Amino acid sequence: MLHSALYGIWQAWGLDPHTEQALRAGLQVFIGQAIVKVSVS
Amino acid sequence: MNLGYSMTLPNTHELYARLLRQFATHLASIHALDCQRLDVGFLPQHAAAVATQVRQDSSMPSMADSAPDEGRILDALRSAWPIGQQNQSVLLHGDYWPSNTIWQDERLAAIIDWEDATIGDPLADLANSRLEILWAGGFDAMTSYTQQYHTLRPIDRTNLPYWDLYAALRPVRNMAGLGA
Repeated sequence: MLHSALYGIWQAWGLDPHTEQALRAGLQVFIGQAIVKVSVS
Repeated sequence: MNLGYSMTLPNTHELYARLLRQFATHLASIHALDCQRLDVGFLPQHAAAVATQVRQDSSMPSMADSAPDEGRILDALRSAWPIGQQNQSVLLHGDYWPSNTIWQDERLAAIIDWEDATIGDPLADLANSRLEILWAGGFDAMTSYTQQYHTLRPIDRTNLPYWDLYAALRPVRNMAGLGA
């Protein structure tokens, strides 16, 4: 499981445990935003 | 909730916000250390390692089919590298994320796992931790965390998007390895 340690941390912090799908989605947006910023800079 | 060896963490979003502030404060404190006075001359220069990695795969076939995000990231980085450095080099932790922190009574008591420490642009640590905070708490948390850090350490963030991309490389490769 990807970043399994993170799940434990999130749960300990009282957050909803993220699925791997959520990790991927977050990463996609993170990358997309950065790509846009470097493209216009 | 006790996570075994290291920590008892808060269990509400209010406490989580306080935790995030501490997380930002401690990173800023690390970056505020005077490298000239510290005996850290043995640490590698982060920029050299990054440049090697960015260039390393340039002779490889396009990864657009197997790992499109990796290809996009490398294309963007290679088109701009070297990006230059506007900030003074600092001590970088290299792997600053919640699992490398120890908490006691809701206070960040220690930062562990320094084996990736280098000297370099503070944006590298900031970008790594931004992605971790994004995953942990979402974009608002990431934005708040970034602003809190910047309030404490008003560094030049012009190149932050490049460091964000670099920070994304490792998880992109890990995910590609796991399959879509």
